[in-house]
Order: sequence, then C-alpha cells, then structure tokens
Amino acid sequence: MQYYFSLQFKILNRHIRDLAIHPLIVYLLAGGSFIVISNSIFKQLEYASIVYVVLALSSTIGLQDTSRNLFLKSCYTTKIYQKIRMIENLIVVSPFWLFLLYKAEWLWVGVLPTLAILFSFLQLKNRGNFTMPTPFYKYPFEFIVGFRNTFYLFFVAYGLLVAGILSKNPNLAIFAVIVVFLVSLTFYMNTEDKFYVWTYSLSAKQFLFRKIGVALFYTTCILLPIFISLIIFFPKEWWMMGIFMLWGYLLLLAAILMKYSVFPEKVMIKESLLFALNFQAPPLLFILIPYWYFQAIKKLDNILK
Amino acid sequence: MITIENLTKSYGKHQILKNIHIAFEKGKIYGIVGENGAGKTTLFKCITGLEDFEGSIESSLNPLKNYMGYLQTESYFFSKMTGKEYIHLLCDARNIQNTDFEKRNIFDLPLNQYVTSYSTGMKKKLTFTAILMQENEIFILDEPFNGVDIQSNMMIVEIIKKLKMLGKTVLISSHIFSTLHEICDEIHLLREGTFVKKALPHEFKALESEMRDFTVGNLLERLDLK
Repeated sequence: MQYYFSLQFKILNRHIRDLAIHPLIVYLLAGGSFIVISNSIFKQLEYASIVYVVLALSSTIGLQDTSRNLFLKSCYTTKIYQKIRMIENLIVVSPFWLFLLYKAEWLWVGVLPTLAILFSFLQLKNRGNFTMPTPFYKYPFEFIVGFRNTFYLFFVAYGLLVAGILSKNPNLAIFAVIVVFLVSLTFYMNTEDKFYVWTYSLSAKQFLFRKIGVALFYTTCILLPIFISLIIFFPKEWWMMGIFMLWGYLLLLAAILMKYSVFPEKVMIKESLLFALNFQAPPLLFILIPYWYFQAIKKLDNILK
Repeated sequence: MITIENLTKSYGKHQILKNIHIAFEKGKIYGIVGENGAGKTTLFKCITGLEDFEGSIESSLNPLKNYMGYLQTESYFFSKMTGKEYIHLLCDARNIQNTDFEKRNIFDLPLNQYVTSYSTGMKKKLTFTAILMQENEIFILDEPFNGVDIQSNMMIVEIIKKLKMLGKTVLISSHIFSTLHEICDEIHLLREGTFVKKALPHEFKALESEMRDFTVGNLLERLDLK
C-alpha cells in the first residue's frame, strides 16, 4: 500500500516535470491559489461552508472511476483496497479540511472527513445501456462530452440563480453566470487527438470559426434562462451582468484559441499562466486573443492544409 | 492517384522510413506487410499528413486528406460519446448530412451506447463504418481485422471488394496474409523502413514463403522445444 502511494506521488511529479517546471514551484503556486480562492469563496458567499464542502467532495469523484478501481481491486485484497480508497479521499479533501479548521467551522471540520470516508465506499456502477441524453447533439463534440461529465454543475448554477432571486441577492445570480462560463471553459481544456482535427475538410480559419461559433451558441443557450431571469428580477444590474457576460465570452474565445495555438501539443505552463492572468487583468485578453488566433491559424494550417 | 517520392521519416537520429518510392492507382487494393516496427503505421501517418516527413506526396486530389478515410490501429474515443455521435462527428467534419445511421449500421453496433463500453472489435467496426459514411475516395486501413470476429472479418473483406468496384483506392496493413491474398492487387513488403519487394497476385505465395523463411529461419531450433 505504501508503494502505491509513493508511486502515485512519483507519477504526479513526472506529470509536473513534463511541464518543464520544478514540482515544488507548482505545489507552492497551487497552495497559494487555493488559499486565495478559498478566501474569496468565504468572503463572497453566504453559505460558503456548504459550497466549500460540496467542492471538496466533488473533487473526490475522479477517484471513483470504475476501470481505475477495478484495476486496484485486482491488485489488492478487499481490505487493503478499501483502506487505499479511504486514504485517497482523505488526502484529496485535506486542504479543504485545513481551511475549514482555520475558519473554525467546527461542524464541517467533523462532517467533511466523515463524508469523504463514506464516499470511498461509493462505486460508480456500470449503468449498462443507459446513455445520458444531451441537448447538444447537433454540433459535436465538446458540449456533448462536457455536458455528460458536468451536467450537475449547470444545475448548481441554476440553483444559485434561484437562491439569488429568493434572497434578492444579484451577486449570487451573477455568480451563476460565472459558473456557467467556467464550466464551459473546462470543455476546451483538454487537447483532442490530432485525428479529430485532421478529419475536417475545412480551412484553419473555417475550423476555428466553427469551434468558436458552437461554443458561443451553446453557452448562450445555457445562459439564456439566467439572462432572462436577471433582466426580470434585477433590471438595475444589467450593466454589471453585461460586463460579466462579455468577459465570459472573451475568456471562452481565448481558451479555444489558446488550445489550438499550441495544437497538437498540450497547453503548457506558459499559456496557462497567461490565461490565469486574465482573471486579474481582463484587458490582457485584447492582446492575447489576436496573438493566439494567429498562432492557432499557423498550427492548424499544418494539419488541415 | 498518389505518388510518393523520396519519403523519409526520422524520429531524432532514428530513421523509420528511408527513401520510399511508391505509387497507388485508383480502383486498386494495396497490401502493406512487414514485421512490427517496420514502419507501416508511420508510412500511413505520413500519407495522411498526420506526421511530417521529407520527400513528396503528389495527388490529383487536392487537398488529399479531405478524400481520405483513415482507420487507425487503435482509434482514440472520447468518454461519454455514443457510437452514433462518433459517426455524426466524422460525417459533420466532411459536411456529410446523413442521419440514416441506423439503416447503414450493417455491423449491428449498439449505436446509442457509449463507445467506451464497446469491445476492441466493435470499436474497429465503428470507425470503419464512420469512414465509409464519409464517402472517401481513398481508404487507409491499419490492421482492420485485428480483434474483429470472423463474421465481421468476412463482411470487411466484401466491403473492401465493393470499394474497389466503386473505383476507390484501398491501402491495407495486415498480418493476416490469407486475407490480403484474397483481396489485394499488389502486396508490398516493408522491411526496416524500405520497400524491399513488390508482389503481384501470382507471386503472393512466393512472397509469403520468403517472409516465413526470413522471419522464422532457424529460430524454432533455438527454442529447444521438448
């Protein structure tokens, strides 16, 4: 069991080193970002501790992958397997737990590890022939795959909107817009196999415009109920909503262009840092978007010519 | 239809393909054989344009890749994507508006299930179906019979024959010599990155014997089986 965890640590470090950066720097950056984000959650949200615990438990879902756990079961006895799963879950939620401790949220300090252990007993069952329907069938593939993986987060966004309307808190409703954009952004974070670009009979420009068009169209479809509700219930806040929506669309556009600006390679630390800077300095988008656009055209030309 | 001249491909200092010269004509089936690591997949990737190379590939079809269907040895599939959506994606990429996937699903694949739940053979049949629906002119099939059941194997052979009748060009790499024997117009032997032999149908048997002698040689004696 000890070897399993040391191997996981080695693998993680190898992934980080592949990004041409020392693991210690990444751990420090990740720790710092975690503290900043956690602080802002507790500053901005009324029921921050609940949101925080949900976030912590959501981060353990990846460890419930069926094929991964089948492999572990085939390697270890049932007892050791269960121990590994419990420890893994506790490791994943530990940063959240430490922050709750710092915030003196005593109830959640007790509840979070208990739930994490209980979650380790959960198994994502093979649902046989069940295929989750998706409204995004027409234009493959990012939203088809993304929606099936993260559909519950859209419900979280709509839940935030309802909570915002009920508590007459426009910030909560605007936060719902941000959640939708952030979730849509994640659909474009993974680099697809080169074959899925190669197979298109489009020019680089046509390909990019199609990808961007689909992303903007589907995101707008998801945002529409939020947008209409905000106009009805918080008409005075339209300008703030407009700013956030514009920023969201630009971020989405930048994410797509960034991905293809290095394609077929994966997005590396340099691009990620530049992208992250946009959260602090949004005007940077007006420089990065054209820059990444021309880079993307160059990269895609090599494949689509 | 496709003329390859002086094609060379290296990974670092390691040369995988060396000065390849070959031409593929319309309406013919070409078999590419060679041991593992001979460069078959790399050659296919160069022809498709998925790998950079030195040399030239000329074709009357322009751009060549838009007329090509490529069945990879191991295709990549997204998680939580159904078979139907996969075919839709590949057809959409070529602006083919065809929604009658069920009717054309001759391998009887569970198109509404996630592809990740398919067996190796089913995945192969799905990709093959998808590239057929793309209405390509050239088909590059890298190990199309691997993991496929005998009935589907027969079906694939018949489809390839039909493609030839329709004037399409098919390039196949396979280790199943008997199948290649049945369908190919030419078989080319790739050894250490170079084409060392071309065989026409009446020479297929001799080629197979030569390959067996070269590969097996006296290796069985070294095994010292008792």
